[in-house]
Amino acid sequence: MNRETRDEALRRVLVAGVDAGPSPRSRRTFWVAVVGAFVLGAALTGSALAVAGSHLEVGTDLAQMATPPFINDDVRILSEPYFLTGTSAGSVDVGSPPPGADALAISLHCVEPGTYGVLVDGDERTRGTTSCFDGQIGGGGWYQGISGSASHRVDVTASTGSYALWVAWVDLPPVVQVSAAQQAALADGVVTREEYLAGFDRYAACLAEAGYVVGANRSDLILGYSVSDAAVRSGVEGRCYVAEFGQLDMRWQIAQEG
Amino acid sequence: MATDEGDWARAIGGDGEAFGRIFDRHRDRVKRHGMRLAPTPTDVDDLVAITFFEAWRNRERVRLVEGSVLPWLLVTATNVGRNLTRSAARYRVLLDRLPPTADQSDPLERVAVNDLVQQFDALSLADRQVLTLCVLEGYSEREAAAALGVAPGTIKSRLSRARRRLAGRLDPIRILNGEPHES
Repeated sequence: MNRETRDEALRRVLVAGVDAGPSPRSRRTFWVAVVGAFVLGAALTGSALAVAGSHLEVGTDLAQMATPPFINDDVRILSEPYFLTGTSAGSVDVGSPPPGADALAISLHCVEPGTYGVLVDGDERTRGTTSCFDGQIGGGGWYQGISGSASHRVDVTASTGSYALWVAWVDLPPVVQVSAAQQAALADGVVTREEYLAGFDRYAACLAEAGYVVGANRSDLILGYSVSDAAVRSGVEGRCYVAEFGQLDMRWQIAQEG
Repeated sequence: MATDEGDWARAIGGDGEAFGRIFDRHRDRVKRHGMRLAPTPTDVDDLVAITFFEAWRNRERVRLVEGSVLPWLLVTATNVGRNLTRSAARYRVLLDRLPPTADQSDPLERVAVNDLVQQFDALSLADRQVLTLCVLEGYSEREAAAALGVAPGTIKSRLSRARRRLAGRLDPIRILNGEPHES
């Protein structure tokens, strides 16, 4: 029997990890996700875990897990997190939104290969799905907008294997609008090098206004640039990117392919 | 030097196989560098995996130097090696699922590597980064400056200082001469 070598297994995990993400920006946290979903739950609550899965796996490892990395600092977490892990369907009653809450932050990850789904209040329109194949671990996080004061429930469906779910009420920052300058650059459907660089410059200036420095090599066809982790975590980088550079960046990179 | 520019752009666009080619291209170099940083074969394996995981996690901050992501990977490996235990904790579940590698290294070579690891541990992170790129891997000061995001003059002064600190600790002739390293 040919056993997969470590290098082969690592390569497969890396390839699957890149393939699995839904969009370039939101894939940022793919690999930290498995170990990243629960720490806030453990750190803030300890005993506030809502558990309904058939194989509870709460222990030392989970206590060391990090905050779901997709939640930036500009998102206010307004409730103690609910945590669920198991191998079969489970449910978490998250109650009514606390004052100021406008969304549920939901983080769903494979602990073992399988297909897992999440629905809020049984509504198919809210379904989020995570699939992991043999040797692949992953998942992701997203926000489900909620309005009104009714009580809510989060359900998890599972095929085989075990999953881990983290849910909390949050107050999201205002939706970022694409700036007039970026809209103008996108208007004709073609992104020129000048428009691409000008968009990047506006993005850098936006960051600079908040006190963050972005370093870049402007001679690269596709700009190689760096920003501090603090800028990303603060949410400022994400807002500046969406407003000034995001769509230009994506269209430029796609245009340079192949 | 093969260019990663196209594969990197494709990977950013969601093409996993493109990232796989980058892994194929640089895995061995990262591993060789890892042997300078980690004390055991298992630690080296973890360091290699974490370096590529971190490369993807931080992909929006990756700097390509002359079309290559390797300098950034080497710097990342150096950073990971600085506190491997903490770095590994983040990816423990993933690392535990990877099959182990049989240790095929020469025991005498490992003694030499362990000595190098100890000497490297005594240096600051900035010293390790600049020595990794300019001395051990043979990159120019300009390329190292691009990879680390600092001015070439800064690299020159850091390199000079790091060489002085390392002088007498390990293979002083090679280090002082700044010859590119090749395993």
